[in-house]
Amino acid sequence: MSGATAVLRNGSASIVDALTGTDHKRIGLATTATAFAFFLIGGSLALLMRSELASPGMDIVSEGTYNELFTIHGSTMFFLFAAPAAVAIGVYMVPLQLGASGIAWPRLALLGYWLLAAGGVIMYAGFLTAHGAATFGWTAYYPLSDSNETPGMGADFWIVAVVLATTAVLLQAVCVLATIVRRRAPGMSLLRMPLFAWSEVVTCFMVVASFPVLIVTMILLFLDRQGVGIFTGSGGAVTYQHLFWFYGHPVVYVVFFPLVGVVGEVIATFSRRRFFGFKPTVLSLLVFSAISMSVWAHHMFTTQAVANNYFSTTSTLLLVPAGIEYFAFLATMVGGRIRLGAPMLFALGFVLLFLIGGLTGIFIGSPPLDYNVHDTYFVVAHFHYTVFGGTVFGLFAAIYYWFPKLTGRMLDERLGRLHAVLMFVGALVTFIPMFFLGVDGMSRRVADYLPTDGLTTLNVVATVGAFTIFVSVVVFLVNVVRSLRLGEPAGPDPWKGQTLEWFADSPPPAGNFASLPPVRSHAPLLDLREDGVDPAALRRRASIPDRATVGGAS
Amino acid sequence: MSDTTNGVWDRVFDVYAPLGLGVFVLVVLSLVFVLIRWRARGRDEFPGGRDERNPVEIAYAALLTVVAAGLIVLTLNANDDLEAQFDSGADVKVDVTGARWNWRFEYPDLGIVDQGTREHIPTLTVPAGEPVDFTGTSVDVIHSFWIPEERFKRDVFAQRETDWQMTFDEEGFMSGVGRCAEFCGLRHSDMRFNVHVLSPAAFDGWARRQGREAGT
Repeated sequence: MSGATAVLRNGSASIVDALTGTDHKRIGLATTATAFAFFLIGGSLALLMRSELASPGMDIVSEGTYNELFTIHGSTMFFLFAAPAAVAIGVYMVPLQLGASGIAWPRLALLGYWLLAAGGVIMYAGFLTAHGAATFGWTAYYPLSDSNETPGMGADFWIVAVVLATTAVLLQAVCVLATIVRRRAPGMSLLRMPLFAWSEVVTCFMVVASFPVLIVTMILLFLDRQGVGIFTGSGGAVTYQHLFWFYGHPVVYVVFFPLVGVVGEVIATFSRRRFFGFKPTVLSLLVFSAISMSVWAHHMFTTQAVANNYFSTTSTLLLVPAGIEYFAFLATMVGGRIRLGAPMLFALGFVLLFLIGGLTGIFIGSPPLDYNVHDTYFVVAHFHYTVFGGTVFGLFAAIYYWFPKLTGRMLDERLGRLHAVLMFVGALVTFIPMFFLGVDGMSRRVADYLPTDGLTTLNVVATVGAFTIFVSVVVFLVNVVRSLRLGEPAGPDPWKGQTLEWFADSPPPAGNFASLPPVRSHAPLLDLREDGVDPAALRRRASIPDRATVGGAS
Repeated sequence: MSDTTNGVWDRVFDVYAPLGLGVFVLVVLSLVFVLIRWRARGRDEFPGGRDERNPVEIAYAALLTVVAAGLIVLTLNANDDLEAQFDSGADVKVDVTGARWNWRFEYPDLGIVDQGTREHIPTLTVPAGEPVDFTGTSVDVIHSFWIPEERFKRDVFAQRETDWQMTFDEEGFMSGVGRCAEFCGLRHSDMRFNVHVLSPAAFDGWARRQGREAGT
């Protein structure tokens, strides 16, 4: 919350306005900043875990506390940070990219913000209860999560928090989808929406299709803990896993797709090129999201209760749409005039690090390989390359790219590059050793290992990497605090962007646009430049505020 | 022997690993080349150029589909072979029971039980080079029986049985190599077992001695 208020105080609005207003920019920023604050908290928990694991023996925390740490770390990162942020950046940016004056159903989106805040407070309040916070992992597998195995209010708090935070994302996703359907600028047909807006379409589809399942599952788990006996039968443990992963696999793409959109736009803008293969990429996103609704049981290969061959086939097929997207990233740069600004460095970091996560994802989609590495540090390494290498690097690309738009000031470029390089090195040093730890026999979620296991050296390396990431985040926070006061004025379009948000003032005023350029493709400002028209000159000419005729979007 | 858990891992990994590494190196090299070749120099300009080559995309998508199909065929064949081997039946049978936080190994045909306690790490004793059939269950939460050296694990559930087969090739005593892979609560990381692989003759001797002790 402190991050949210610090950023918001800088604007002209009071905190009360900022947290109760219906402007999509305030809702989107408050939600993203709150989610980011949870990223910092969840990351701190990870540093505690890495410190504990740096040597054999329980040195810093007890086993019980360690179990609270990894449970709340994973829960924070998915429920309170990644999923809310993935949709909240759409709440802020999709209306701007569509040339709209606001979001559809803003009060619903605002309710989403407050549900997220309440969910976060409740989840962390679990630490204050008699038995401490939940200790069953972010997946809350049954029967470990029943009232016998995990008694106490902390676990109930966790369930309530998950319901609230998941509902929050669902509400905001509905608003983004409705905005896309109803509020596009004149001339903006579906295929003239920018890539980021398209990535939010597939993201929100998946949210709408999968998040209600988790909400219901959590309510069932809550009832079971009250003695209703929902999952107590012989098939209950497997049924719970099906229900959880029907949400749990789509969510990992929910936290990934929007950043594919961001990275695509950053690469195009910093290469001074039109995004290559726009239509195949949009199609690949749709295919990707469709197939990924049918891969969930690849988390259950070792249960001997699912059709392994079917789920292996669908999971492996995902390499086709993913390959199309990677081709588009590279081909966009070919023939361009590439500038390695901080947003571009994070975008390239995303491309390389997510590639490690994607390729190792093909490995664990193969049952004979998964039988060995499932529930080990190999999998921990794999999904950190997708959610840290993918989501977090993509989100930092988004922050460096759009910070000038949000605040009207530039972030310091040298600190930004330092952050990018340190974080990239940190991501390699932290997570590469974990692949080897997993194959060498380190189970996931262990609080300890033996000196004789031969796992110590690689664990030390991983811990050093984690603290490198910590330093890089400190550099980022210094950059933000400094730039909010001292950053160079950004102007409306510091990167020579291609999409409509760069036609608005920085920060965009209430109502967003005084005028809009014609929309003839997914890159309307690039159209102008290629026609020899400077968008800035067009803005000045059209600055007579006549929204009814020029804007047309309100 | 190629359809053992180890053999099937090697069969699939030996294709996936070089392919995955190759693709990664290819992307890195392409990226480095593109960044050097088309790095902005001098004047700021918008070079334009083609932004769509659908025949190339279609051919590329077809290539990716062929690669995916190849991997799927390899994986499904390997997995089917492994499961067929599991169904073939073995002379030595072990019932595995997981309990928070220990393992229990029972040899139903031999009348032998090794039950772990807080002070005693149980030992799985098996003959070398012969398949061993396992049937697994749990008395409480889900556990997962994992021997990294055999490249295989399987979950064990309360109220449900799972079964699998392993073949241990190298004789010797491996201290604490067996692990629980499914998080099961407070002392999950302590839930270990030893694996003792004996020659078939030595295993028969062990079984007779242990069976006699158990019988008295």
